[in-house]
Amino acid sequence: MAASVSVSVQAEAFDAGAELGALGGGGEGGIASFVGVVRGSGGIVALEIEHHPRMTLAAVARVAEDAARRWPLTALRVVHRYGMLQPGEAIVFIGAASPHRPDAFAAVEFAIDRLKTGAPFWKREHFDDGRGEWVAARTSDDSRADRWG
Amino acid sequence: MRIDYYAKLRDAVGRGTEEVSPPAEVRTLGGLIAWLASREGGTMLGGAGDVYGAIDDVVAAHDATIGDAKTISLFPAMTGG
Repeated sequence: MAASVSVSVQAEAFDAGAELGALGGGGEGGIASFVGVVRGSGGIVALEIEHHPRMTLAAVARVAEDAARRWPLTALRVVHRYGMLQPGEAIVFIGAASPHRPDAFAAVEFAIDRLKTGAPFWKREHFDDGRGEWVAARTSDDSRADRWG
Repeated sequence: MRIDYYAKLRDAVGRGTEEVSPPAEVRTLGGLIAWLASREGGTMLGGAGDVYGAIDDVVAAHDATIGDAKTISLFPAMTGG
């Protein structure tokens, strides 16, 4: 099965619902998805996401292609934003279509686990008191990425 | 060679990019990072936590040789997704 793999790394906002709808064209099987959203708790007024001008798109594409090799998918779509995002906005969308639902679920979970620590993005939270704090990487994210082997 | 600093590391070092000519004995990514830190009194890069790098846009371990690399990217641990 040759999956249709599509990846975008962009500054522009995207419509997660439209991305999900676009995956449904195959007409069979199941579609699983994940959407990461900017949190607005704790006084956060904006999330700044920095990326690498040359490396990031290739790294995200490698994660997507790896997922499509590991599981029998008909389609996989990854969208990840960079720039200054507002609370409630979608940061990342991952959607996978497959004739078998365990494969669709696993591919999505694999992709987000691997993007967390393997895609060159760096996040800085901006707070209502004027502070900007770089988000620290979590060892739990490393563990989740490593568990896929 | 050009060094590009990203995210918290750029803040710690105080600049986004620079051209450097490391001495001949600096052969690895780890050696380059140590040499860059030594110019700053050994504190600025060290203060930025763990430093990761890419040699000509390919992520590399600290023991990788830098050879005739044109660009070195230095950055903290990634926080994507």
